[in-house]
Amino acid sequence: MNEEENLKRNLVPFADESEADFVLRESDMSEENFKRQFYYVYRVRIDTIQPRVEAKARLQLGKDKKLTELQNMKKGEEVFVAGTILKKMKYRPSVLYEFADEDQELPETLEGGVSLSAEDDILELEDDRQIVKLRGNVNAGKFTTGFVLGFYGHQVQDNYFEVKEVILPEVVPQLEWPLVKQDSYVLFVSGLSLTTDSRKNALVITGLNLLCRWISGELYFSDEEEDIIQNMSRVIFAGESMSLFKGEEFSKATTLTLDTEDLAPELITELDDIFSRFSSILPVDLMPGKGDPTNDLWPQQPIPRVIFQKSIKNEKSFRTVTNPYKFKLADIQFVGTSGENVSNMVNLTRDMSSLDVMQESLECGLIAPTAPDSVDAFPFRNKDPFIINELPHVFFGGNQKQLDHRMAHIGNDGAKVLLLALPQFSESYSVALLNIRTMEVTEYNFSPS
Amino acid sequence: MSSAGKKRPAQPNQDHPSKRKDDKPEVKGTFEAKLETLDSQLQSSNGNQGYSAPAGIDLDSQNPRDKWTRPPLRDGIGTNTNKSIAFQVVDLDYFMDKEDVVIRLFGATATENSICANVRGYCPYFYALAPEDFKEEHREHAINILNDLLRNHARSGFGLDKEVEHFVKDVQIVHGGNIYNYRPDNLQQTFLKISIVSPRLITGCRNILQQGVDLTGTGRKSLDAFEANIDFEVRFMVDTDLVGCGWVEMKAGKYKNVPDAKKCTTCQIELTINVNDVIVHPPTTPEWSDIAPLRTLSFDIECLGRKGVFPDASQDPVIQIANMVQIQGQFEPFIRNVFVLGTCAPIIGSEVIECKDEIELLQEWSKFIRKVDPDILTGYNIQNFDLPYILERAKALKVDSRVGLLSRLLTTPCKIRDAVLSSKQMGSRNNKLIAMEGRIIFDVLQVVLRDYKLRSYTLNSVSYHFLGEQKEDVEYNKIAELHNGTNLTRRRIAVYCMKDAYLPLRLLDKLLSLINYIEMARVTGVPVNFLIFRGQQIKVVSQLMRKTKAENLFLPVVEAKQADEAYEGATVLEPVRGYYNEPIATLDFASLYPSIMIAHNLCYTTLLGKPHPGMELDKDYIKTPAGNFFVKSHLRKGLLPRVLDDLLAARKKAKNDLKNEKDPFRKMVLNGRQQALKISANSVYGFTGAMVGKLPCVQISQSVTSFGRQMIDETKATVERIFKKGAFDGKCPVDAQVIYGDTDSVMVKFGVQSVAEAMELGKIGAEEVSKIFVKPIKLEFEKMYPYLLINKKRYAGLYWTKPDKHDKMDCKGLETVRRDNCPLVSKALSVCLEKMDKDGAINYAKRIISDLLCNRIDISMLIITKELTKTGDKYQAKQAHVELAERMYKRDPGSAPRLGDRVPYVVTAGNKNDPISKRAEHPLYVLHNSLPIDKQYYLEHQLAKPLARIFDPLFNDKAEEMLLKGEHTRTQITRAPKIGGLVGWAKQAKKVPTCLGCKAQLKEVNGIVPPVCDHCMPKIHVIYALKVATLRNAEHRFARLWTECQNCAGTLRDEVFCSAQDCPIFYMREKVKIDLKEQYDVFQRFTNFSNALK
Repeated sequence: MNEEENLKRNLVPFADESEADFVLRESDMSEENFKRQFYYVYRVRIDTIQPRVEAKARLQLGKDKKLTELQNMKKGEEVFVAGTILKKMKYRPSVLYEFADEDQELPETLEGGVSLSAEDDILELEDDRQIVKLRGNVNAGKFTTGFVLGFYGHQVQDNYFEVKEVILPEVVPQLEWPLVKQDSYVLFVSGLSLTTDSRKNALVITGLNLLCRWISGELYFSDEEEDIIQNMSRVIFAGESMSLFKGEEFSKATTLTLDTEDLAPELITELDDIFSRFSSILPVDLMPGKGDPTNDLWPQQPIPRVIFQKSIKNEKSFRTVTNPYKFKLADIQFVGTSGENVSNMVNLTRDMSSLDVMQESLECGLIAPTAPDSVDAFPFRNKDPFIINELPHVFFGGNQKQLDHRMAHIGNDGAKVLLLALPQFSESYSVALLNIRTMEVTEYNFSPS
Repeated sequence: MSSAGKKRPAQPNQDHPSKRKDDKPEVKGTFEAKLETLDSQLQSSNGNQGYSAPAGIDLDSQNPRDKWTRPPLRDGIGTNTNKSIAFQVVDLDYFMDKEDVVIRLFGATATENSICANVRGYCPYFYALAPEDFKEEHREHAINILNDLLRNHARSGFGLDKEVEHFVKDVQIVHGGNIYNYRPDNLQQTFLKISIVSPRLITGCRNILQQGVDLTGTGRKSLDAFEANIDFEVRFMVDTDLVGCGWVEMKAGKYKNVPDAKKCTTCQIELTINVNDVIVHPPTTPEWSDIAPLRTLSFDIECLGRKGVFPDASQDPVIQIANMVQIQGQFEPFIRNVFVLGTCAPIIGSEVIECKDEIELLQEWSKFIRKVDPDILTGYNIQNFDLPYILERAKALKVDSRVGLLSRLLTTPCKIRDAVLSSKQMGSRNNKLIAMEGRIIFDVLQVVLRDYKLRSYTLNSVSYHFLGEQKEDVEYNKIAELHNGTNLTRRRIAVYCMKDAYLPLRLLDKLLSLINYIEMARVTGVPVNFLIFRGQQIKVVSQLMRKTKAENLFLPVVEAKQADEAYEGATVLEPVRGYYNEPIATLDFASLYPSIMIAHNLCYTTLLGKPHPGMELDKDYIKTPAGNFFVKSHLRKGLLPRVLDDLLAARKKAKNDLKNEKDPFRKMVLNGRQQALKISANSVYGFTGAMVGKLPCVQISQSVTSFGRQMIDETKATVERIFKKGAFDGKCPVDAQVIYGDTDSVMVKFGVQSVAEAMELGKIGAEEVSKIFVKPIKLEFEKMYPYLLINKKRYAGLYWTKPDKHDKMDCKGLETVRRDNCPLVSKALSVCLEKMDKDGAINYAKRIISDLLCNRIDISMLIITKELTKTGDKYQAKQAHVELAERMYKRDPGSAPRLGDRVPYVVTAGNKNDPISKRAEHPLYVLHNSLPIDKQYYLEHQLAKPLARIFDPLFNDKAEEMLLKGEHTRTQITRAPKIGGLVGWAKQAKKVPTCLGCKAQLKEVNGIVPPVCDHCMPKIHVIYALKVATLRNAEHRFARLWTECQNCAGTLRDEVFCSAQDCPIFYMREKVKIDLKEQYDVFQRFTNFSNALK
């Protein structure tokens, strides 16, 4: 089927820019690579971001405040220090609970929705040689393990550093916002979350069918909507389309590894049906996420298209892409993820919304600060692909509780980024529509009832 | 180690979760962070006994060494003598001052001052049965004769001064009796109390008497010695009513201070006093039951080993010694330091003492010990490794005369000797004994070995077990590398070493070991040292002598002989095997054996050879079921029953106090006391049964067990008689049935369905049955096994004490705790038992078996470990772990296990005809070479029997067959090895690409090999799903395990090189590295194929 037969659409120039950062190379997968530990990633991170912190410190504190190594501090003297943050958490989920012993009673942890961050969690700052605990004017509820930050203050006792000021890294440059002359729309769908619960799946699929009919032009309600549909240029499925594992993923999966019975490959066929319909109407980008049938370590690789035997027939309009995903639409720079980075940070901080942690991530120059500490990530040696070197125009995260967005000012130079938290479809039956000319975000609901 | 020398060591320490629920998760911190905060904690937690931070110590002081010395003496103590001085006795010994024995009491005062009291005026002695014609006028003659006879003997050594002339100081006539056997005229016998100049001459004197002497001028007679084999320390303590760790007070004005110049010890106070001026306070009064602020020093050494050989003190240097000093009653060490050979970067919160060479290191450390003057020296395996190593090393460097001065004696270096400790309780162990006068060597490993049965006794696994905490294990080879690196790499060893010194303190706190041992010392009256280095018997002797002393009864010297007759032990009722899906009530006899001895007045002193004329059976004496006679208590109350009465009464009181006590520290003390009392009471029976013991009496022990057997039978009969259907107002639905009984408990099926009903009947049963037995024998209803799987000596069930919720799982005799099984067995068993549901359990067992056969079990679950105790050729038959150790040595002497190490191995498939010993391989070797495991071995020799045992009662003894055969065993998957005979073939085969679905050979299309064949293409998503799920699973593990280690190490920016093989995730994280590469390759085939389609 050719899309142009159905509906005249105005497509805008598109370019996938994920290759450089997020696609694994042959060399990444050498045997050597998997013998590697994660500290390399942190070293790359500090090497890249610490100079940005130092640059910022020159502005914030004045040129004479040079970086002091922790081991050279003298008690009482006010100094500028920098390094990696390690957050000591009372409720940090430990793999030992998960793997060590099936019969072991788990300690009481906070469950569902409640933040894992406790009042008395402590931030530690690690530089090349030493570690100190931080106190004073720094909110442990705001940061997580993995950030690279600077601090101005002084050492009290042997082990504490009294923070006077937090120094974030200098914000990276942003390409100038392009001028988009015409309304053009991109549709974000996130979290289909098909599982072995077929009743629930049926609801999701009914909702998707409504959505599909809407974008195909069968089901619009106003002229304005017709206009939108004509100018819709892409659908992005932002991860977590299905759960490959029956029941709880990975739970207690160490001693007893996998059996075909534990899996739900039939969901791939169901997704294939869905995507083949969408991609016959519009170009579809399928990002993987937690539970999707691709690798688990971030950056997640495109799901091999060959397993979607129907959708693959739509050739170029059905693309499987990486997570995180970076692309350009009408010269607008998009970076987004399936949202695990966002949810994970919301869990590990206190009183921070999805958008708050996304903004913080951009300000600190990291797409996923908690990877690899609590978001599974690849053990790279000479790169950390989650470092942001160029500020995007749109930063999105999938699978959040509700649609949320704001145009955020990042840094002091007036850089603006649209932060976009996408709702999980299987819960909200909502999708987000972004007008890339006005940067307006609209929620559309396709509740099956 | 990474190229950049960095300061942060990978020091694991998060407080891993403990299995106990009440342990709230703590904020995880590196050990270093812990070290850093210790001072602030110390300042705020000034102990619970009201001791503040050590007097005179300024915690804010910039110089950490100011804390080393003990607080200064106050109130003129040490110079005046007008104040009495009370202190807790920690250790005691004696020395000869010409003709006087001087007993040294070492201890600490409540103000943390160390003290040594030289007690004079006490003379060693023993007894002998006097010749019948011995009269008062023979005394002088006897003294002279014995003195002459002993002189010859004494000249050959014994460390006596040459001027000593009076070897026998006195011979007195006393009246009393032999403790054995009841005789109406028992106490009328004449004994000689022979006082001797030195305790060491007692044995010689006894031999002289035995050979025959003529004391009355009427010819040579051989005289039986009494109490000639009693330890002098015990003798002294019994006579002065002093107990181990008891408090003594030096009467004001009655002691003399030893001037500094004449001091023989390093104690702050040294004084001389006559034994009569020492007030001994009974430990039972609240005022004198406290524990002094004793100083406990824990230390650990690191030495620089060579590849493949155990460090040898004659060659390998000591490079670091870490120390932690804690005061009893406080919860964190107040001195933390490490002596390092060479330079070492600072460690916040601890003092690093750099030494330019090894001699300086050892000498400085030795000085440190003398300065700190600890009462207790602890650590992990210090007794057999660290301390001997330091002493031997000092000898090799020819500085032993200085370094060896670790005791409280000013000029006597410590000596080591080898000792074999044999006890029924622990078996034989080769130990090194180190004499360290004035201090207690309290090795945590020895305590754990003595008191706990564990799968592994490495510090790491003991810590994980009790503290839920891991530590980094650095390989020996790595130590050398780090030591030869920079001041930063040496710092890393230092932190590791300090953690090893810190953990023993934590263990002592957690296990209350010190408190329990001190309490045990007080209850039984022996020094703490004896509890560690001696068996059970000395404790009973000490208690018994405290009773005989007042009665004028004397303990004969019994020649040790092997038992010629074994007596019958406890009874086990034939179990009615089965699976009980209904409450089972357990009726327990409380303290069965002690109660029997009390109830029936069983004692040495009440034993009747045969009834005397005029005595009436059951009125004056009893006949035990074993056929022995004992008099009833109105004729004479036995000593053992009185010892036991006291112990049980004291325990009851302690338990009562415990209930009412609020203060956590006092609670710990009381709990320690009641435990100690229980153990002591139970050891009395064993003492009478020990044929090689000091005072064996088979008549007592066999009577005890015979009563026990009879009582179990009677209980069974009574229960089944009174709990008939409809009895107790119809509360009994059916006739009750005793389904099992063992030693001191019977299990009753009342046929009721609810736990509450069974509890009610159980309580009635306990009351009713108790009525038929002599007091204090009492049947208690204690626990319930609502569901019980049973087999002789093997059962499992949920333990209930309250009707609403079970307390825990209780297993007896099942393989969940056996060490020579792989963890899979104990895991499978405990899960099956816990399921407590027939179908659930059998399905689980089948799943485990199926997983095993399909290679789905993680290798860490299959590891068997055995200790390498002797070198290979000493073993008769080749054992798997011994052969493996030899093979490993050939491969790489550096990483091969050494004597004393536990060797982990996995049984691989190999060549089926080879014996197991050839096919045992190290888990890492198996992982790296992808060796297939011998699944049949694990199935048949590991899993089958234990599982069958628990399932047999459920499936009419067909369980094994059912488990070994059946549907779940049909599918098997074996990995292709990377080495061995098949390698060549496997490699070749690999070159021909095959379909991932059906293994059909594939051809390249446009330079790309499709992942599956055309035939499999329609189900490519199914094939892919399994492959990618396996990949995801491995990846997730990789990410979680390695970040866990990174967190455990407490650093994000340094490499983790922990090699703790008994950490639960060690092999997992190693295995996953290997899995990932393979699985990514498979994944790539799908990706590449997809990309080619574009």
